Amino acid sequence: MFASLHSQEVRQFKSIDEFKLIMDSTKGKVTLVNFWATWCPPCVKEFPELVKLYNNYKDKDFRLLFVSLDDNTEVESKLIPFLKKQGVDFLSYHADLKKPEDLIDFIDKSWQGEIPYTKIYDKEGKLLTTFLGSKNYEQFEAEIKKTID
Amino acid sequence: MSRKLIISIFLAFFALTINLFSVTKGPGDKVDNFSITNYDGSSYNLSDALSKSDKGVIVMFWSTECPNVQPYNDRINDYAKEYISQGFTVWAINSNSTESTDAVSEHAKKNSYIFPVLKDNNNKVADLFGAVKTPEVFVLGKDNTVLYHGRISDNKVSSEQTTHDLKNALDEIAAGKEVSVKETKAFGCGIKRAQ
Repeated sequence: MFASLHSQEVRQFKSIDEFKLIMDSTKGKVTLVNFWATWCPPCVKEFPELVKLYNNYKDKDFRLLFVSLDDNTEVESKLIPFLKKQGVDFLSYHADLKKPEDLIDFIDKSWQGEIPYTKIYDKEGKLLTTFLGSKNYEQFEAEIKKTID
Repeated sequence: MSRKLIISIFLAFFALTINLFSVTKGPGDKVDNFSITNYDGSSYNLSDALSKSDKGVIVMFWSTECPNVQPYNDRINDYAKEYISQGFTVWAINSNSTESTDAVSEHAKKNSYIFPVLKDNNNKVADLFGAVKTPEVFVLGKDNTVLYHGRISDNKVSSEQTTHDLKNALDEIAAGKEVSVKETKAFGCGIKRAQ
């Protein structure tokens, strides 16, 4: 199912079908999907806010999916060291797609590919909200609190 | 509440609504005229540029920092030279509120760009195009209609490019043909708009 599993629990997906399976596995939990890259300064800026959100809500039917859009050549040299430094101790993902635009269209056809880009889904997989650009902890939490007590 | 205050609140809400619903221009859409001043004080006007260009205007939303833009510095001048000679006008526009006019000027000089890099204060031009990221390119035909919108190529690293989407579109326009791939997508750095 997955191309590889790195020591820091980074799973790479090589097709949209693989990503669909990952998304399907989130049903039953409120899920925040964050598209980001280590080369994106606003993504790096909001990253600790999301890790904090995960730590505060991980026991409350909440799942956080970090989907890295870093270059394939930078997974070992940049992505994994960054995740370690940020204290990410849960599974995260790396998109290794031949046509990244397929992921853009699968997620939302109106998305132009700018990152950071965040989607929050309810337990049934229904989209609750979309965040364009960097946000802070309070903004993320306000959305999560609407569905998690 | 005074009438003046009510009108002010309404106008503020209206302005906010316009900003929130700024839609990205796509193929076939027209872009309103605008003027923008370069860091050296030179003024650039879209209608003037379109009337002086034989083929159209290439507008590239650019950044001094975005790591998805910088790798194109090794070839963007060659692209510009090639298509300016064929009758296109090339502009780069920096709409990031976090990048100063001085930084834009220094970056342009450092890279010896042969095209102007125009500082878009308060992202007014980005809003006209609905541009959201860097790099992001719009090619406008003589009638200010978008003929191509999207990426420069499918990979920022020169040696790993397999499709040259912008060049393909420009070659077709230069040859008087319809652009076969009018819109493409790629990941990029979101434009940091003024708050």
